[in-house]
Amino acid sequence: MAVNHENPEGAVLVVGGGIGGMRAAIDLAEAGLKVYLVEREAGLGGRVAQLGYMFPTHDCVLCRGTSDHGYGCTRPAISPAFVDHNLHPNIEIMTRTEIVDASGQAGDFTVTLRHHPRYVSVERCTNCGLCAAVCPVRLPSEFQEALVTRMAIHKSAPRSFPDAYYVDKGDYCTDCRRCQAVCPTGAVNLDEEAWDEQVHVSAVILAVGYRLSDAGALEEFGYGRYPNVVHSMQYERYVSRSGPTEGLLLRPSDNQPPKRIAWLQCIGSRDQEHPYCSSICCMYATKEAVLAKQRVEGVHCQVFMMDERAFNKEYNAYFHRSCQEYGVQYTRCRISDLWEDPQTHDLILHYPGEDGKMKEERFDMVVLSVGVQPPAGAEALARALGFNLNEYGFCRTDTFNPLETSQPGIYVCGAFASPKEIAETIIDAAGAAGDVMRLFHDQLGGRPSSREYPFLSRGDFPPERDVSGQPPRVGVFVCRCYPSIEGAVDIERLLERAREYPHVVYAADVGYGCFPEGLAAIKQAIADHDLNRVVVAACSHRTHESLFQRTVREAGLNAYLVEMANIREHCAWVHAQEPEAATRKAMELVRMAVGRASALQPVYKTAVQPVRRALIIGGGVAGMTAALAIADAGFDVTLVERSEALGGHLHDIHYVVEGYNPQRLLRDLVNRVRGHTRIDVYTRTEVVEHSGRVGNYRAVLRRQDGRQEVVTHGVTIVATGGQEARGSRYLLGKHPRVITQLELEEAITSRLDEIARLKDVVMIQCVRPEDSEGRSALPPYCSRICCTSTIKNALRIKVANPDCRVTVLYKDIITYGFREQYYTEARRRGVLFVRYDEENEPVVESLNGDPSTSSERRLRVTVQEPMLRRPMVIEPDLLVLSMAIEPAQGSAELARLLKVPLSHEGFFLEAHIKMRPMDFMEEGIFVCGMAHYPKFIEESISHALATAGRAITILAKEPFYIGGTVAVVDQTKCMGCLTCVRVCPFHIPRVDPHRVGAGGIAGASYIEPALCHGCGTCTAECPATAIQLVNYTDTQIMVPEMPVLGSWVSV
Amino acid sequence: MSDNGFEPQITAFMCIYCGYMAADTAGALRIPYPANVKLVKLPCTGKTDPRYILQAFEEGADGVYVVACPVGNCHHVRGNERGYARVQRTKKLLDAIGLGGERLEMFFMSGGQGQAFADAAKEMTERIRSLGPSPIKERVNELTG
Amino acid sequence: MIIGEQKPLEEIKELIGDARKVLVAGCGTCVAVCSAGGEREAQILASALRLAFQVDGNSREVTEATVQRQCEWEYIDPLAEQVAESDVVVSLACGIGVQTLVERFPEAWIVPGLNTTFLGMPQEQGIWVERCQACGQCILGVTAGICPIARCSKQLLNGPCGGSHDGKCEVNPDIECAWHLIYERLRKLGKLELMLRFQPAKDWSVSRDGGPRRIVREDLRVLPET
Repeated sequence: MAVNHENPEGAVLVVGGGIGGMRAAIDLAEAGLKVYLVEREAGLGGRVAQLGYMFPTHDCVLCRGTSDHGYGCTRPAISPAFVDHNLHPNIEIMTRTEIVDASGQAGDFTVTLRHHPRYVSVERCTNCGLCAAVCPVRLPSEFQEALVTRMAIHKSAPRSFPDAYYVDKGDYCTDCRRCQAVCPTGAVNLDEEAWDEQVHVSAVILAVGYRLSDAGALEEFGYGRYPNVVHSMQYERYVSRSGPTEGLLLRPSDNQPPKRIAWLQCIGSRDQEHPYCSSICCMYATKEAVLAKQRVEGVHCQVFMMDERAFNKEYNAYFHRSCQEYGVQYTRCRISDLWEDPQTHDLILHYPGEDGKMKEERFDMVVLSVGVQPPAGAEALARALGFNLNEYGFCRTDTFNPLETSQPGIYVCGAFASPKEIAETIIDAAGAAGDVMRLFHDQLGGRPSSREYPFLSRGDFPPERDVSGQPPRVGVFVCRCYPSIEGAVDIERLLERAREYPHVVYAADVGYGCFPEGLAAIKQAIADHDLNRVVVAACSHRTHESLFQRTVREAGLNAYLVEMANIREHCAWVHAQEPEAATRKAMELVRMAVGRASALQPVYKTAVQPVRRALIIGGGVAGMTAALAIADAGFDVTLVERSEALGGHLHDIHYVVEGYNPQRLLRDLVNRVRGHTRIDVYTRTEVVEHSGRVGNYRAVLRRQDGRQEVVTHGVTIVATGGQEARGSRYLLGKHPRVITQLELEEAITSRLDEIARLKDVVMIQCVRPEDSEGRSALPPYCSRICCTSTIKNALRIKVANPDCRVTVLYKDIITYGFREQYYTEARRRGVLFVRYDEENEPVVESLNGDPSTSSERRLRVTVQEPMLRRPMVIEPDLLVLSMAIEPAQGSAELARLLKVPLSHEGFFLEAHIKMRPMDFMEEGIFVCGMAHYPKFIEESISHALATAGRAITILAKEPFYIGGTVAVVDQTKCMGCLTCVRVCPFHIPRVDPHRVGAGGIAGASYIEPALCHGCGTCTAECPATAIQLVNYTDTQIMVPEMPVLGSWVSV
Repeated sequence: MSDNGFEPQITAFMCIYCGYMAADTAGALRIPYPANVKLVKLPCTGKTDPRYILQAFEEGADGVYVVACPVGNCHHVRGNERGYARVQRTKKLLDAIGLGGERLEMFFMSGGQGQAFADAAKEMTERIRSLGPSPIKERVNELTG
Repeated sequence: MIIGEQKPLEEIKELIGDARKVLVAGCGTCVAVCSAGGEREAQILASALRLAFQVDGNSREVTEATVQRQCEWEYIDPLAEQVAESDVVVSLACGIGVQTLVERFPEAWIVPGLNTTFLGMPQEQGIWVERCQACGQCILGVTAGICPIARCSKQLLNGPCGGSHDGKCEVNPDIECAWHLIYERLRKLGKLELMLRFQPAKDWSVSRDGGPRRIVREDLRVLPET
């Protein structure tokens, strides 16, 4: 059957419900566009849902994916906007759905979707689990990477989203229909059939992720034959707290903690068949090794790798901690095979030792660091949607349009474009969303959503009843949730007891409380009995609180006047064997909820209309790209540039390794920015003051001539860039034959004849400037782009003069993703790569050092050749240094001005390195480009689009809401002691000298409701008890009139 | 249930992130634990207040514990560490009071660790059972009913 | 700021003795800032006392009230009724607050709940350090703003003793040598010549040695109307 779905204009189809798809969907939805989020599997989350920990932060915190602070853990979602009963009203989720066909063009696609049956209704499944208990089919669990089994009817993960079972009705399903027979709510229908649906969408975003390399494909490593050889995703499940062992690391053959673990890198990467770098494995192997060190005392961890590619913010420091603090051993060797000792199941590896002789080592566990491959079905998808794949089978993109496929209107993000980690996927996803917003600017805000309430809605509710001053009239609604609750708790006795509690005027059971009948019964009773507080005794706040908040709001009550008692997960399900005890506990949980409900007060958020203008600081490629995207989307932009011209360091880049012309990009960007009516450009101008809050900032701009101007704006984007460091390391600036890579690029562009005459060139990588005392002026970090720049220039020299000897002295070659091909190409063309390490840095000397005849002076470079273990001496014509990229000058002052933090490298520090790489913790301020970290032009473009998209979600709001569960200072009690300022994990409270505190003394704390995260830390520490957390006040927790914290009902 | 007939009354404070989630996971996986633990939710264990803990004891709790996100994995970055510091202080205070600091404990666990949640409930129940009833309880029992 | 520290619960219980009705009086100024005697601490102490007395099988009525500043009669006046109803008042103020209560409520039995420890400042959250001893004759102007009376273990006036090692004090290597700090700061600011200025023996009569001190400012006084 084919259904024609009626579609609003400007709808966007997001393909893939992993971290990238979710990120793109939420931004588009927030901007007021309709989103179809299509996922092939039964639940959202993708690969990331399987990861227990992220590098380098070692946190799971998907819950920090957005600034939403909803209820509890949001795994596998990145935001409470993806929790079942709080789904964003603009997002329609379709699981087990694939794309079969598409037609049309940008702005008007018709896409045919095929919905495969789940066989279990998401609406009617209550997760009681009776079906799985009777299912006779056991299969390996995909979520747990086959380490345990699951039934044919199962949940894709314990906390899957949608939160419901489904049937994997493959050939192994015996169609015994026991599940259908046993289901108490009639949710199972094994006769469901696949059906097709057509949707009309303006744009498509592909977020289909990647496929792991097949660990068994390389037979020499014994995966599948040797029990103690596991692949990295299996290892992730072992160490995950939601894994089969709740995080205990055990080796498969004997379930004993391993004592020696080896990681073999580049399995399915950087080989003949996969000539690209998978980009993520170096870091995840480091993370996995550190996790082992943290979990298993005395474990030996050894990583066998070619290069350590720790090329992002904080990654290098993390890698060094792994070596130095945790003692993870890194061995530079590509292991080609291994053997198993059949007695012990130990694994035997051979590799050259430090003396060059082969040695044999035993490990009791080997982890194969499997790489990233194009997702399954990529070709079919490309055919259906009409876009091209590249030679590796990933989505083809254009260097300077990194998020666009070859088909206009179809965008790509994340690992489908090239192997990428979480942070980059999120940047891409937000960027693709931003790109779509600019394209369909006339539809922005067309489907407004509201955060006026603690749940997401369209804001269309009946007027609210004023209950202020009324004594509490509490209604208690008990969900039977047969068999879950009713099976353990005596509902009648519970109700009987509930009626005796103070303020309770009504108590009744509601069958299945979350079903439409149950919700209707609650609303009816609120009206009939004039209830002004509601207790729902049912399941988890985490999954259902939004639903009941919505219900009471629909009944005319403030949404904060409902309290749940979790008598299912926290009671019936865990005490099913003790009905008497379960009933007593349920009575107590309901009593506590009644106590708290009686103390609840209505909460109102504040509506704010944003100033619809963005301030962008920095007029380089990132700043200009963000400015154009925001202006194209229909909002004003003030673009501030310190120098006299737009363009930043793009002026210095003449070509990129992929062959495109950055100067054309530069001219194009500058012309479009200059010509755009919505962009006000201020060159020779700096921001000297910045105050206000999201939606309403005020900045003072100072021109070079001293004139000042005030701009009010809703968001601020930092795009101040970075710069090539200088200094005098290796005779830079002191010897005419020593130049930087940027200078070489300039020479290649303008004086190629000179370059072609060179016979011997040496390039040194990873050069950090020195201060006056000879110490490194920068902390060690990877500047990410230098290896590729070096290879780009080395190749140009080799093309101009194949006989020129080019020697690159490096620590690790960082040519991640498809850039690996240029590294291969450079070696093919005879560029020599010689590794050095920190202990043996190259020595550069000037021969016949007479400064007057400087041009004739020769150079001598000496480096320890690691293979030969002997010094290698070169006297090159030219020495080219890859200087570190440092933050732009003035970054620290700007950070102080904006009150945003810097990383230890000196770059701007975002809200969360993995989950929020374009946001600052302060809502409304964003960062992109090299101000964040060194990056390639295309990465700066994606990042800029990401900030633009995030900015538009605020600028397009009409209005947005602040407040809710936030800390509020009673200034009359505040003595300005600064305790809150010092203990807040987010540095939000400030003592404001204009506010009057206790005793009329100037200087009281102020906690900006737009910024407060609502953790309550300050409220528990304030010595004057001057701070209360809304909805968690002392009264609401301690409930003085009804002892709920320590006492229990007696039965 | 117990040999001496003493069924402790225990209050568990937990954050609405990992703590609450771990309790949910224990439920979803049907991992049984003693039914004499009741759960009070806090937005974060950074909200743990010695006053709440002491009041629980004043109301007759035999034991109290706090369940937080793993250290380093707090949704509010370091709220759980602040909470831990306050729990340590309150343990000392309970020693001085004569109730004994061992009646109070803090556990750190991830939302996926249903078993760990159940184990914490069991551990506290066993511990409190061996310590015996809180001397406060006799007096406050008449407060409720 | 006056820094104080709560007395051990056991000691406070002893001070309370047999009193049946106990009022814990918090102070909302200095000792609140150092989290020793503000409203929160008063509530915690009251709760702890109630529990402790119950554990002893001898429960008492313990209430608490906190005023803005215990060293002002005007602020403690509102406590009059509660004080009168109590058998004992545990003051969580500094010694000054305790005595202000005593002078204002001569009938009441007032005991201290804090040890008033020193005049100092918070160095970071949770750490307070001594900076002044109220010696009555300030020499910070010649010691680079670093007080040798408060910070030198031996209260030396003319440079360090022989026990200064690597900037640390021989009394305890955790203590920074005040004279080392003074020297370094003078050196940095180019005022080392001040090191050479001889400090005459200190007049301790203006400090505690001269008996309880008082300051009278005739310009500020409001004399009784005649």
